[in-house]
Amino acid sequence: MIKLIGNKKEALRYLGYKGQSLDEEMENQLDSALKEGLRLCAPKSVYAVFDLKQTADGLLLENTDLTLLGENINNHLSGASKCAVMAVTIGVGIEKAISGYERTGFLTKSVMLDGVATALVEELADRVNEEIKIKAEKEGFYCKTRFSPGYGDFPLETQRKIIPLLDCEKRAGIFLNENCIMSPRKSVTAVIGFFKKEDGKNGI
Amino acid sequence: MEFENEFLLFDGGFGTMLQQRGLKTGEQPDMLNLTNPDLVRQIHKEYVDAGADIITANTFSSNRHKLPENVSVDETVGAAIKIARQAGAKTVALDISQIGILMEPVGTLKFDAAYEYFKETVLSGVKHGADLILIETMSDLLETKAALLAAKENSSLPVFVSMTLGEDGRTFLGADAKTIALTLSSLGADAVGLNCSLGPVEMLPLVKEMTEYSRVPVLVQPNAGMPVYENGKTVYTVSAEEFTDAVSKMLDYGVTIVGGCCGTTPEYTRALRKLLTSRKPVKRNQKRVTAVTSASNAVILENSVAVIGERINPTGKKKLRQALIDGDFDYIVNEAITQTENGADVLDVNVGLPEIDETKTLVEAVRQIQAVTNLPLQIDSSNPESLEKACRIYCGKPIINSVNGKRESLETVLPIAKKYGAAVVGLTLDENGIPDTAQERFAIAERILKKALEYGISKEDVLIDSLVLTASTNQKAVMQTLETIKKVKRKLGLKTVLGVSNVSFGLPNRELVNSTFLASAFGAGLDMPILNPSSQRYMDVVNTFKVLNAQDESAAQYIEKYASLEIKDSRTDKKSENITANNDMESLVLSGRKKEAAALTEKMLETVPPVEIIDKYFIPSLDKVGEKYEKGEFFLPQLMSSAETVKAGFDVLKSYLPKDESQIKGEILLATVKGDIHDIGKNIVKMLLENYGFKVLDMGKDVDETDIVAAVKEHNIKLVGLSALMTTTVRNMEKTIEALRKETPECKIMVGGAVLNSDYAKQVGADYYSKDAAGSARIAEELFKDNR
Repeated sequence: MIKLIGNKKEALRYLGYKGQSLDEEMENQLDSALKEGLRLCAPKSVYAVFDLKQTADGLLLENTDLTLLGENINNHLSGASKCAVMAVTIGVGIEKAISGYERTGFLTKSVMLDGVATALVEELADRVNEEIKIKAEKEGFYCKTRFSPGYGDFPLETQRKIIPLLDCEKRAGIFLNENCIMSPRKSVTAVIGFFKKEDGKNGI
Repeated sequence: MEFENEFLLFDGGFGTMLQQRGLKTGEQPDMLNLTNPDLVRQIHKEYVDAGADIITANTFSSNRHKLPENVSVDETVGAAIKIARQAGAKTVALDISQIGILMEPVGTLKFDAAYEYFKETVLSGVKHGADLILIETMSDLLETKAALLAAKENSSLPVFVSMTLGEDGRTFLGADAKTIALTLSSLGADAVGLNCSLGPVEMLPLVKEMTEYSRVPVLVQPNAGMPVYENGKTVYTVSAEEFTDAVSKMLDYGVTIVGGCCGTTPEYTRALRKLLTSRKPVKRNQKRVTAVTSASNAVILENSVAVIGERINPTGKKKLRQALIDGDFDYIVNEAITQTENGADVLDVNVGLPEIDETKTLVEAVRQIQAVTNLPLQIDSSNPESLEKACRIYCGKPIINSVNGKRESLETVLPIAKKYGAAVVGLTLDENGIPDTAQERFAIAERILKKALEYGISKEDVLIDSLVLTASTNQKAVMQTLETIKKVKRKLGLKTVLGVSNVSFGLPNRELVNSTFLASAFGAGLDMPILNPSSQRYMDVVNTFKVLNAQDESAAQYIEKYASLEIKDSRTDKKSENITANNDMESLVLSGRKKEAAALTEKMLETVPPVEIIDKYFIPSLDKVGEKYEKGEFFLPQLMSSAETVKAGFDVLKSYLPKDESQIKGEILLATVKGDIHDIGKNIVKMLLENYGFKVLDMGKDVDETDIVAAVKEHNIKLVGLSALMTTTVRNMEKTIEALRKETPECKIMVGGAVLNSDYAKQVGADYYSKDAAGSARIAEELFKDNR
């Protein structure tokens, strides 16, 4: 199980912080939101690596029914021989607290915890991404940045394939609704390309 | 079928076998029932040959949500059961698992909708001759409850229920082994257990807990270890031998139904068969406890006392009464959270008022309260229909408050308690009222217990309330109450509940009388007092008693609470002294000082009319905040903090404003559209609009267009604010706008949300686009400017 550290700077960034002066009260509130976020989060992650095959529609993950559609992702993975697909979540506990604060009029707390939660799920995604990178390195590959459904023209509907592909419901407790929105809200899925090192390039 | 005196062996992993035979990852195995029945049959046959008693039909995903549109549930279920029979299965289990949509409050699936999905699969299973129903790999206790009820209400088959826990010993939604065992075994499952996710070794301590707290036989189907991902495939590393070694320990705990989940193969089944042949079932070390559970926690009365919070009950509470009449559930939710924070263990929920639809309101209250608290609920009503409906959607094992010695009450309430596995409070009164003597009250308690046992309710689930009369009018009766508690505890061995606040009615310094009475009631053996946990005096008695009855181990909690009490007190005092009238409203708002702003408002009211406070102080301050936010001098939490500060002032004003003053400015409906669950932005808009003096009708998130149209008509709304965060849900926004245009063309619409901009907003047909909360306030101010 991955244990998250929590990054105040990142949380602030998600809250739209641009160097405004913060009084002690605000700092304290942030610290306690961060503490609460860490206490409530239940990180879960799944990933798997697949061979890629070029088809007329786009890159196909071999032995699956997932073809990556859209120019952006196909350009991003152009030349990759494999890709990892990952899904992470920090669970529903934090989400319940966010809406609990909202319901009882503590909107600042609610908004702060939401920012903290976003930072935590991104931290988790980074950690898993790092794990994947190391794995790729060992096998003689380098990775490019992760790319998520909904970025550019990479369809959000790809989620419908990713969730069963990684058995996310069972393994991470991530579900999709009819509009391809993940529950828990603080979840991330992404695709990471593996590129052969002898191509003369280094990792990005 | 016999489940506890002999062993039952389930088959093992199915997906694993398919993967070995080249099924593509992510493909739906249930479709194979139609496209490749031979393959399915072959796998089943291997398990039959390996010695499995029960073959799990290939119906894990056979529900309306998961199957492709052109394939019916009945087709796949029918084919699956037939194939299992052809493979030689003696007993075929209809396999049911999660629908695939997360339930409310986190997700969007409603209880009744979940029930209907499960019902369809169950009915097909029955029609095609399944022998039992296995509900497995569940992670939401409420969804599991819907499945179990659907199975029991639509079939007469045995139903086994199994949930899946992570390394933290909890489901994804937070339930632990005790909670699962207590809730589901009370709810009528024929066996409960754990499967998937963990390997058998990791599962051992959790299985032990299940065997102790379950009231029915326990089943276990572990994975062959924790999954490892290699080359796009899932690999499990625990060998058949290690697997059976761990299962052998589970048999020691009294598990009688075993099998395998992911990663197990017929080899494991053979090994298990061999193990079972060499063993005899062991009697479980079952703890017979009184317990009540929520979605995630169990409150277990084992030499301990627990406080039931009494605040959600309109009797004698004006504000709550009004909130219930207005349908203001925020107020109720607030009471729930406050009591949770103040140390209640269970919350009583009573919404009985002649002016409202009690059933509807009770169900809604339970739904909303369970979304924000981990405490179990005591569902309190004299209306059996309300009790039934509320117990049904409650996530956990509730307490029903109450039944009494009257025949009609016994005959209507006890069946509900039995069906929903609730504990039930029995009041010692009957057709002749409340008896004077302990002897007579005891006799009623005895009768209630006897009747409960007849209905099949466990003794542990019967609690007795000996009823207390007021000391000022019935001074001699008080000791009779305590005497009844002693007798009930000693002679019947039942746990007791008691509302303590009544005793002091009509006397001065009621808290003092109540706390003295509480202490003596604890002495008489009271287990669960019903009281106001916000009263420090009562909680002092509770906290100290917990030291004396050894519940608070090493007095750790007591020391934590009381050792530093003095310091805490002086700090809060200092803060409140700080309030000075010198601080003007604007600087208080800008620095987010809530308490001071409320105090200043109070002070200003002596000289300034309330409406002027809003117009000359609140709104200019808010404009300033908006300006700072616009310029980047404030970021979001600062904006919110200022808004909250104005709200604190507003709350003070509210009671001074003429009743419909708040409506004069205009009423605005806000909703996050259908399918979308991202509502933080909308909530911020709500608070700001309220601060500007508008009345806001907040419909929440995931709101159907027809509900929005209906509400606009009903409340004669002139401005609707819609939010959507995702491109996929902007479509629903467009649909909602279309519907509003058609049905209520005079209503204006503003929209906001991450993916929107002013062009996109025009495209979906909105009148206004607002990029942030301050913008929406400007739109509203402009639109309603003639209203004043």
